[in-house]
Amino acid sequence: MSVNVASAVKFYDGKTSKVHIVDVVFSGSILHITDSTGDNLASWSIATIKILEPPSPPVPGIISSDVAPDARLHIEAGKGWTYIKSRIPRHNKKLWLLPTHWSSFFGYGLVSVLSLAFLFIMFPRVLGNLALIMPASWENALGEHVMETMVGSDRTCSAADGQKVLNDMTRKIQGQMTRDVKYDVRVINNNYMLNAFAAPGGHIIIYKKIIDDAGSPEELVGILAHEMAHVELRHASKSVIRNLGLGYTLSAIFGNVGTLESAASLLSQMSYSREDERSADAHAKKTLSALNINPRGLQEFLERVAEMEPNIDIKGIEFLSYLSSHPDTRERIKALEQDQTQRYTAPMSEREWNAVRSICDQTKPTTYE
Amino acid sequence: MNNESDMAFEEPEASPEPTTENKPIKPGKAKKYVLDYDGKTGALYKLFLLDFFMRIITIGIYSFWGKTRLRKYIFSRHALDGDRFEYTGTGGELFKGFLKVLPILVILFVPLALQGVNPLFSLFYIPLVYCVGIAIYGATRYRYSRTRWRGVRGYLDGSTIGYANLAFGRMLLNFITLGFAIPSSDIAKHRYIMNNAYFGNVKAEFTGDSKVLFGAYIKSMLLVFFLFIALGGLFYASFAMAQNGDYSGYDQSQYSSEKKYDDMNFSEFNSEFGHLAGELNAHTFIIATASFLVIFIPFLIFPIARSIYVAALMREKMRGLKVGHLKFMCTVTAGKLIKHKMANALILLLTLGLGFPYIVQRNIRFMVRHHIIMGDLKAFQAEQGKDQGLTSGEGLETGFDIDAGFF
Repeated sequence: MSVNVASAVKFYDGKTSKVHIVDVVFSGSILHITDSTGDNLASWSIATIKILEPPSPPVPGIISSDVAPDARLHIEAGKGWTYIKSRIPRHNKKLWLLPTHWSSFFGYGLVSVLSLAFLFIMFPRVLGNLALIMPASWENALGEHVMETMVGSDRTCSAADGQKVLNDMTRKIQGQMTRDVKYDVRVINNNYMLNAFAAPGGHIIIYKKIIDDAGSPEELVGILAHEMAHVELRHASKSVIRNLGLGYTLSAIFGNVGTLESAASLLSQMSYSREDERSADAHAKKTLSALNINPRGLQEFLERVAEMEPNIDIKGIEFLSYLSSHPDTRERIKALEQDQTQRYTAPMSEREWNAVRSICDQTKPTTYE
Repeated sequence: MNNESDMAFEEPEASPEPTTENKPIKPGKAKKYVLDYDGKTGALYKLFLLDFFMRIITIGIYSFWGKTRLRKYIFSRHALDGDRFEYTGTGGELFKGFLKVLPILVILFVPLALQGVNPLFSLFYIPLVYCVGIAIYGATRYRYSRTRWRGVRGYLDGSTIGYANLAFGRMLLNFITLGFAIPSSDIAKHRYIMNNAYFGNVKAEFTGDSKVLFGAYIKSMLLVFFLFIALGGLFYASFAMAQNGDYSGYDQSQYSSEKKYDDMNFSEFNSEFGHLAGELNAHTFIIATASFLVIFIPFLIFPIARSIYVAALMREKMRGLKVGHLKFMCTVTAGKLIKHKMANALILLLTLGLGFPYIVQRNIRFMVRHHIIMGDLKAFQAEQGKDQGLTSGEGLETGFDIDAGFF
């Protein structure tokens, strides 16, 4: 039984660029392709026929055969195509294509929004854990780079007495911690920013204004313990990796190499999550209590910041940086309520406190080596 | 495609069936053909949207399939002498190509991302630039091998390293000669590709000459130069004007007291932010405007001035090309190109970038409209050539986010 499938369609034999106008006839399980003179150009067994492209009017569908993979038979959409398609073995049919009806785009949009939500919420957490396997030398190099970007041209306070008190205090606090980090705590001679900062690798800077405004040594020690807790808990590295990871991922999605190149600049835009701040507070409170130092200092500092919150004006712009990276100040103050029964000792002598307060009597350029 | 004569400028006279076997091909009367393109803007929008959403859903991995689907669509909507083109590449091949070069990309890009840690890492730009040559040649080879017309595919012979060496050497030469070698370098690189290109067994041949480009190049550079001088002058003049307080026409006293803000309906604003608004005086305004122009206008000037050269290069690339007896012609002029590009920029600006698929459509139509193929396509015969034997492609090109283009 012969079935005429299509007449006067195009056939390219795959050997030359000659265009054949052919008739296509099914005879049993063989597809015969014959030209207008009646010459048989090809006979393909149905099992060898493959659909390469489905028709998409006015573009005809394209079929080929395993026995002549370069040959192409063009069949328009319609009766002939439907018949051929119905006879070709399932596994030789064109793979399924994602639909592009306008209506299907609601679905794509919905799934995209869900995916983005997942990407921004779950992905950073997973990536953050990569910080745990980061070699110390990388962390250190990263930290130095972040610090150089952060500090800019401000000088480092270098009075020897004050620095010694700071170093001793750092060692004392580190005695309560587990990570073997070489801490580098510096006071930066900047009278405008009420801020302290911890970068990966144990690099900590405290702006002079914090010491100037501090009502007690406990306040400074509280801030120091808080920043060291960030290092101990690897918050900085996690934040850098999260930012980097997200940057790389977004550039993978939208194919922008510019993002890859500017990844380095992301290093300086770190910020801690609220969670990180709370856990650093809790960690600092524990450390201070263990050293019999009153955690009231950190609380007092936050209270002072909180007081400034309602009346931020143009001149108060320096507080914004602190507040934006230390959210929910009032909530944090509450969490720091100290144990009334514990007896605390002074973290340092009057003489030592004075030495710290005059640490900026001498300064030197800020360099990281 | 209803009728093949739609494609030809001149109706082919009772086209004789071309002879195939062992006879020298005698081209009939040379005819002119243009590519026929019947792609739809709506379809392009759908494909770009699909790509956009699927990239988000698959964190970027779909891009290889999205790109392939777009190419398949665009190729299948191009026809020459009634016969449609076919793109036979697959997303899987592109993905495989990308995975293969991923280690190279990591080795190159991670140090570059960490330049801040050690400035020596910027030395990695050297291998990166060298690899761009490899990427372009490799991608071109892949695309030729995946393109078919009348069942016959393209082929690119030649050595990738040879091209990369040429491209790198030429880049150094361009640098040393302060850009004056650019026309000769562009032609040399194009010659290397085209003289290795085949359609089936028919070798392409490129005899283009950079000499005819030099004039256009000098013109475009002079234009850039003068525009910059003019801009610099404008900036300097406005700066000097602001410094001297010579506003020629402005009453300076009007800008030096609080009164001005009331005049400008700033009174409420003034009470809160008076000290800030004080900064917004005429000095600042003039300098800011001039700075904006100086920074922003080069982005407009450069492409426009370069169009003089680009149009000449496009014409020469076609003028010098022969495939079998077929000759080619490009009718793009600087004026047409500038007009086209400015319209593109305006559309993108006004649609906030959403007009991009329409820009793609416009670009295709522009290229189709300005390219002519001369010869006799009925008599033009090619036999199937070598199979390139590629199973993956374009990895480096994807990684560098460059576009090797097709010709």
